[in-house]
Amino acid sequence: MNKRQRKRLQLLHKLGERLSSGVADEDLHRLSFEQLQYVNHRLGMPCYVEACPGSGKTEVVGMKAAYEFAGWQDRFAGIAILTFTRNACAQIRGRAAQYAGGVAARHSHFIGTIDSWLHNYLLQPFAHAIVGYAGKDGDMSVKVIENQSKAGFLKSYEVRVRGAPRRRICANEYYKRHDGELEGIIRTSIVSFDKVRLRSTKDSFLRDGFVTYQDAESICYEVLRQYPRIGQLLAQRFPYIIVDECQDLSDCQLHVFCELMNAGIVLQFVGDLNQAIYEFRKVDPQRVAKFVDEQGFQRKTLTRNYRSNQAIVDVCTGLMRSSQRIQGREVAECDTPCILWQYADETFGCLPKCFENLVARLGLDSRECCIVARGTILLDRLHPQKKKRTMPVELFAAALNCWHLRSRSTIDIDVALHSLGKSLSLLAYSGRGHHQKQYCPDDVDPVRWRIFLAEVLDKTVDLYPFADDLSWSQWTKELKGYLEGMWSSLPVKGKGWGQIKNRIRAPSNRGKIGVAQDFCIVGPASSLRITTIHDVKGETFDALLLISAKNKQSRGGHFEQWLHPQPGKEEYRRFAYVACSRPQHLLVIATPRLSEEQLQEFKKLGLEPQDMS
Amino acid sequence: MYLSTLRIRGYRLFRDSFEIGFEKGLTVLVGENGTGKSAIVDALRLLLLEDEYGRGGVSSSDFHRPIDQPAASRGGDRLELHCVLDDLDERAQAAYLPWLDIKNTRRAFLNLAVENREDQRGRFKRRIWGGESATGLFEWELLNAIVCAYLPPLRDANSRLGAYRGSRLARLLRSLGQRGLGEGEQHPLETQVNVFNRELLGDETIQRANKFVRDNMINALGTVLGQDAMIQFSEVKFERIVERLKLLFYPHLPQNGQGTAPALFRELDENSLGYNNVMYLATVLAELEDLDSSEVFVKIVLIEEPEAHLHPQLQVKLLGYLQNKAKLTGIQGIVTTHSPTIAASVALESIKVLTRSIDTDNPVVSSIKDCGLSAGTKFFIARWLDITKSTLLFARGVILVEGITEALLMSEFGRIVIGEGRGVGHNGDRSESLEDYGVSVINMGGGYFKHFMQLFAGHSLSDQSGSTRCDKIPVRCAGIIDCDPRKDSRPTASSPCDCGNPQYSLLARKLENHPNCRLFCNLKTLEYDLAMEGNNLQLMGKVLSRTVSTDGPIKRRALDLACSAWGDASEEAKSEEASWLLDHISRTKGEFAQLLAQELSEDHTVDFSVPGYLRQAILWAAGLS
Repeated sequence: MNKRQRKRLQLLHKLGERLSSGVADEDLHRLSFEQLQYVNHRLGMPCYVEACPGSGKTEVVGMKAAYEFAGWQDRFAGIAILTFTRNACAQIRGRAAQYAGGVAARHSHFIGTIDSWLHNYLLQPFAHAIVGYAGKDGDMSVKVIENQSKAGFLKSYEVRVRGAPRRRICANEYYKRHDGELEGIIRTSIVSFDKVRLRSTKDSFLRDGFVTYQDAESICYEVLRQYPRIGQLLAQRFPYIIVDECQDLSDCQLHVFCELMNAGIVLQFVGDLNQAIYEFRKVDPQRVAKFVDEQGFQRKTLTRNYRSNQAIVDVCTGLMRSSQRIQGREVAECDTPCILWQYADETFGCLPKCFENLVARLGLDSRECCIVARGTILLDRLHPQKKKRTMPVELFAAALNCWHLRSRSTIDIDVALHSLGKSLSLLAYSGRGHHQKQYCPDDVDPVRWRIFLAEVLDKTVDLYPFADDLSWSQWTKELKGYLEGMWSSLPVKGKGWGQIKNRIRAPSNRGKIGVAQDFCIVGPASSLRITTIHDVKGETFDALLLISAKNKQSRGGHFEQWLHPQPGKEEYRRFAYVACSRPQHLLVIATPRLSEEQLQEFKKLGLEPQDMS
Repeated sequence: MYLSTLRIRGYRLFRDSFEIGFEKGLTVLVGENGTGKSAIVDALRLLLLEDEYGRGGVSSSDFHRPIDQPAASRGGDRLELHCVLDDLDERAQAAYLPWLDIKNTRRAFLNLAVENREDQRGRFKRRIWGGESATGLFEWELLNAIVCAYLPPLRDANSRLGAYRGSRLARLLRSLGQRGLGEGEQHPLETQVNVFNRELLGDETIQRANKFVRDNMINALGTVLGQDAMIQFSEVKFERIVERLKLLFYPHLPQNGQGTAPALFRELDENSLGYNNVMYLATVLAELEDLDSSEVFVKIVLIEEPEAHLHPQLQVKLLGYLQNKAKLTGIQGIVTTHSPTIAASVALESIKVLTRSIDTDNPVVSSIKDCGLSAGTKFFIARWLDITKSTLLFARGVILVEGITEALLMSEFGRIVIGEGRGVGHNGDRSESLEDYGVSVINMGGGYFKHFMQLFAGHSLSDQSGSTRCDKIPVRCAGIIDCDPRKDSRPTASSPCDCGNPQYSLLARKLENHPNCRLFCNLKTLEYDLAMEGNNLQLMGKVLSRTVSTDGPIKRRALDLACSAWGDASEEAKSEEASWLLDHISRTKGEFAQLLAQELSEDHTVDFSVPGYLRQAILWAAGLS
């Protein structure tokens, strides 16, 4: 037995003792030495764990949580484990509960998204003091407004600017950074006079109790800066914080954490800088790297990929031109795990079906397979139901289309209710209401609202299905007739019919186009999940098809951008890396026709060209 | 950490925002009925989820209904409760972080709002939140760490102390039993009962019975469908065992260290209600006291009318104990009472007086400690606020008098004055006496107006400028003061004395335009002034003649007075006789007043006029002027 093995056994014993109630021996023995070392790492020592894809990061963080919870005494102070998606939270929470038993459910610990943690402990309790919001009925809660929101009340926070590509800018479309600079859709071309107005509009937006997610971050930073006492108390409430997916931390979040460290909180970061794909949110992994270095975090690594087979792991490594050797899974279920397809214009629509056939031939579960691409325009062609729609009329039509699908899934029901709720809310209630509650108006019980929406969808038999030659303008007229009849039966009175009837218009420039055409699928239907790269981050699939855009117009959706990103566009390479590191058994990349040179490059990466059919 | 303030709006009789402060230790809420004492206690229970006596929820009658609306009307749209927790230590501040006041982190907020809208199950939509923002995570554990126990009025203590599921005793034993036990570890009591259980089952009778049942089961259902059966001694789990326990009593404590023999203890329903109440309170306090202070930040006990079934001495004793307990163990006590005994026995700082507002329907609370009492006044009142005086805390109007004679006669004068007024224009008003108007006459036993009136003043009376505002009991208060000039002076209405009672003039000037307080002064002294009024000398002569036992010149002159008519007599003539009368009752003032009161109460038609200063005082205190 060598020194490393002996050490490993010691660690296993130590973990086993503390976790006696929850963990089966084989769970522990599955852990690698690196994983064990992190679980055992002292909570009081800041560190950064660099975890390659499939390294069982969630598992290890869950185990770490369970291990620390098991020895925890204080009922009113705890560890915060923060991540970015609800999905990841649920996984970590599940693991922690599995290994630690009841103690994981103690309220003193927090497992959740970084946003919800900041909102619950800093933003909502204290934001009013920063922005000067006076509250409503004694409630000082601020309302978080989405950047995309076009709700009616936002009109009062618009600024007309000169020389900008858009003439009107609304306060929810930009934000003030922690250092006071304006950011968002604001371009440098805006003259300083307009900047002053933008700032003051933002201030009144905030003073009226509205914030965007970005505003929320800078407000949290301000709370900590202006009220150091709150930081000190937060450091007592949560002396230790573990941040999962740390590569996604925004600049402002890093500043918040910097303040928290100064207040005495110990941070541990877990993540993979190669999977940073949120530059559009101003997330720069280099800043995270710098933060980790400057704060003197101890570096640890997880270099074994438990997810993908070696061939897929090698493609990923090659893609990143990394020299680090990552060990993949030993078993390979497919003879050719990495395949390259080249599509033509006429075969593009067949990609989902071809992929579905392929995974069926290989005996893989189609529910565990996924098709991804960068950019919604590309996806809309494959999956029109998911197309993002913003106008009330379009949303109404989309709702009907989803609701009456023959093989309607819960997701379709959700989309249908969501679209209809949004449509009616935009018309009657200025778009107010929470997007997770189908835009339910404030005074209505959410369940009642959902039932109302379902009834509307069931009753509108005259409006659906869309006849082949029915144009948007014709359909809009019919819809208008229907809405006029039902307007008085809305659960709470909103805007009057007279006020809104002129807002029921066919989608701009599409009045003549057939409605059915807008909803028809380009190729044969497929039951596979089709989604964006960002959406599958952190997930695992049996097989995955990554589709490259036909041309380089899409930002980061074309294979050339993945292989040879221009300086400053390194993120595009990471898009491909995130997608390719998802599947366990089979990775297919579909590109438009390639030159010989390009083909060779893919071959060199380890992909085998095959015919689509 | 303690609950320092409660704000109520739209709940029961509180339409407008109502705010009451609580002391760190004991707070005693006093006041007449219907001023919201119980509503305050219930509001706290609602907010702190205390539901031992049902009423956990909200009912439609909890929403404020203005009294000019029909009883069946829907009531206000929502009710709001807001409380402030104060004095949070470092650890509590960290725990209650999302509840904190950002400007003062030693203080936190807890809120509840209930909408007056029922869902299908008849429940009202409620929202509870900590801090200033309703949005976000609500950590229920933080609310659970504020423990609240409630003792209702006229409680049926002996049944509460009995053996049943969730009994007080079971709760206490369970919380004690969990101490020092590891997870999954068995309580020794449980082990012992199990052993005992096994032994019992060895008993032949039980064995035979068990066999009967089993055999019958098998015979009836056959071996395939049949079930096995076993007799067991009822409860073997600790929680169930302790629910079988009950308290017994023995009326005397054991002497000389000897324990009372177990067989002597009696069932509680043989005990007096009062003692059972005390015993009940003792178990509740024991349970609160035992709570682990690392897991509980605030302990509150709410007690309604602890005087129920207790004789005065026991009331005083019990309150003293509570006050002490609050200080020593940090249990915050909030007590409502109608007992002057209790009001008189607790520290002045603890007392909050609830009154109905004169201008609005909303009750008003006054904190005695904030009534601007100077150190001297506070000491004085604390000393002299005995049971008879403490009734002023429950009154709607107060007449302060200097001595026993006024105290004895005031009720008769009240009847006369109010009766006369009724003839003039109070049609349908059946109120006949000072009591009917809720007016208490307080005998201060001296001219201590400055001290007692301070409670009603609202600004400092000792302070020259009188500009410092402070709290007050907002009821009308009339002071009746004697002018007390030189003994031989004979002032009359047309030529009053010029002595200018300095105490009177100074205070009276301060109170000139006061909304609630007035001082009323006579010409000389009560009997003199009575004698100067109308035909009063006739009756007074009669009364005097009865106090004199010897048939001498005094009795003769007294009878002369009684036989003459004085209504039209000159002031000089009256003052001559009044002076003489005063000289001859000086040593029997009490007896004289007593007899006069008796005469007045026996014959309501007797010709007697109440002097103007008394008339004004009575009308003022009853709110009729």
